[in-house]
Order: sequence, then C-alpha cells, then structure tokens
Amino acid sequence: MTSKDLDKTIDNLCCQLKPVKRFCPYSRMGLWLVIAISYTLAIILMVGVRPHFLEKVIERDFIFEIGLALATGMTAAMMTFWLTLPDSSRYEKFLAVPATLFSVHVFWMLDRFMTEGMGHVPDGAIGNCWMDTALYAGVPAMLVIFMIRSGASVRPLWLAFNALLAVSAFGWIGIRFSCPHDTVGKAYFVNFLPFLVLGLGIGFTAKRLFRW
Amino acid sequence: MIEKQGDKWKDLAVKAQAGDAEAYRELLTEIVPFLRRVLGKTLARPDDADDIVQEILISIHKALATYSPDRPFMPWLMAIANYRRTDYLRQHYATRKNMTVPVDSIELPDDVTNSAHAAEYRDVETALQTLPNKQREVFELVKLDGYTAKEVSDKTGMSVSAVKVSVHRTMAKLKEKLGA
Repeated sequence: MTSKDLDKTIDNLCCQLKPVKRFCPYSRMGLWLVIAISYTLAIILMVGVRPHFLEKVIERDFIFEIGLALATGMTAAMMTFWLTLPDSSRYEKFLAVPATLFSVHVFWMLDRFMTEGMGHVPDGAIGNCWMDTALYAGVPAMLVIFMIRSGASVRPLWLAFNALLAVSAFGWIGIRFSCPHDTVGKAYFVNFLPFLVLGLGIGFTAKRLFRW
Repeated sequence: MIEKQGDKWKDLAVKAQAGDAEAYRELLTEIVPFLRRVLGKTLARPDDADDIVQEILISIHKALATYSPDRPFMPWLMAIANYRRTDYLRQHYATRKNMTVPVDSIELPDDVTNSAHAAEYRDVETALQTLPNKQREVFELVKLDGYTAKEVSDKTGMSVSAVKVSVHRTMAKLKEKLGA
C-alpha cells in the first residue's frame, strides 16, 4: 500500500459519492416501536386474548411481569438503535439498563421456580409455542434487522443482544396475553425457550449479519 | 488545534453528505495524515498503517449517513478508526502474520545467517585488534567498508600506493596469525 494507492482510493470514493439521507436513530426507534407494538396487538387480537383476560390484567404479579417485559423491550429498542451509530460510546452507560431489567426478570423467574416449581406444562405446548414465537417475533425481528443493517455499529454483539431482547420482550408479552397458562414451566421455560434458541443463532451470526 | 480541525472536518462532512465531492475529497485527504499519525503510534509495524487507513476511508464512505452535525466529528471518526484497527489486528493475529517477516525486509550480517562462520569472524576480529591502529583503520576501510585505495588515500592523507602496500602487508600478517 502506497500513498498513490490511497490517492486512488480517495478518487474512487469521491466518484461514488452521492447525497445521503442522515441516519436518525430516534425516528427509526419510534417507527420500529410503533410497528412492533401495533403488530403484537394485532396478532393478540387475531389469535384471541386468553380466557379471563380482564381478571388477569389486574393481578399484581401479571402487571409486574408485563411491565418489566415492556420496560425491557422499550429500553432494549432504544439501545439497539443508538448502537447503530459508530460513536455510540456516549450511550454506553445505558447499556446496563435493559441488561439489568432482563436480569431482574431472570431472578423473578428463578424465584418463582424455587417456590412454585415447574408446574403443569400441557402436551404439545412446545410445538405450539414455537409457532407462536414465529408469529409474534418474525416480523419485528426481520424489520429490526433490516432497519439496523443500514447503520454502522462498532459493537455488533451488544447490538444483537439488545435487538434480540427488544424483539423477545414484545413477543413474550404477546404470548402472555394470548396463552392461558401461567405456570413457570409454560410461561418461562417453554415460552422463553424459542427466544433463547433465536438468541443463540443471532449471537453466532451477529458479526456477519451486522458487518459493514 | 484538534478541536479546530474537528470543526473544519465536521463542516466538510456535512457538505459531503449533501453530495459535495470537492469537500469530501478535502476531508478524506486531510484525514489520511492524521490517521497515519494516530495508527503509527499504536502498531508494531507502522507499514500496516496505510492498509488500515484505506479500510477506514472505505468505512467512512459506508457510514457517512450515520454522522450527525449535532455531535462532534472526532469521536465518530475515532470510533470507526479504532473499530477497523481492531478488526485488522484480529485478522492479522488470527492468520499469524505477526510471526512472519517479509524476506526483503530482513537485514542481517552474513555471519549471523551462517553460524558455522561465526567463530572464524571472531578470530579475524581478534587478529585485527593486535595490529597498529593506523594499519587496522586502513585495512578495515578497504576490505570491510569497501572504499577504494583512492578514497582511503583522500580520507587518511596517505598516498594511494602507501594504502595498497599497507593493505597487502596487513593481509600477509593476518594470514600468518591465522595460520592460513
């Protein structure tokens, strides 16, 4: 590599220059949240809400779980779009927020598991849950990947983690609104398992997926 | 100084986003020496700096849309530079390029490349030490440093023939001392 080669590179880049539209993480974040929330609501209505829904939504534990998932999803979505900027180090301190909310959720699950055990898991639930996950998470996941690939992240693994957390949180809320089972085995292990598999897959491909 | 430079580059980047090729050229051209300087300090082989600079220029081109004038330019540039440098070094170490050296960059004296001759060189050096200073200096200039008799004559103030005679006598002495 010589100075001449660098000059040639600069010439090529200048020739290829076209006016660009600035990448705004806030507008993309807002758009994705609106679409993800609307889509989840639409699927809940399409699949049908769980029996005794109105009684359930006033239960303290249910409100806590959904609130926690919603907060995790919202903050993870914010973090995802912030991380699409190369100079995202200014938001580094916020990385802990979705991760902490998620950890609280995991501790909540473990606490329930210690006190309640796995509980009843209906036959064929795993198959149904994978279908539900594909239904709830498929579109938001594809949309978020499409929207963040046009960014330029220097932290692809954190980006993938937060994107997954955002998609999983809204998908899980959708499942909880339509699935009638509240046992730890069903609500956490079975409903959560597909997202875990999705996460492992994305984790391994994150660097390639978000290469730029 | 860096702040001023950052402000100038910020303006150029904004113009480049609008499609101003001249501003873009100015920005990239000004960035190159800066990046070379920054990378050169942190690389074991400064020759690699230009390869990384090229990667960074291409990355700047791809990520141009992600820059916003609301934010300072330097952190944006340095984030890309650090990312590409890490990427380059990761590949560099993964392919074990750090353990190889281009053949043409190796500059070793002959005695180092052939260890069998190392002892003989030592004997010659020891024999040279026993010679008078002036005689040794003339011999080293002609036989080791490669100067001609005329050049040594100019350097030492001796006549050309005196230089030749001195070298001849030294060779004879050394042969005698080394038993050759």
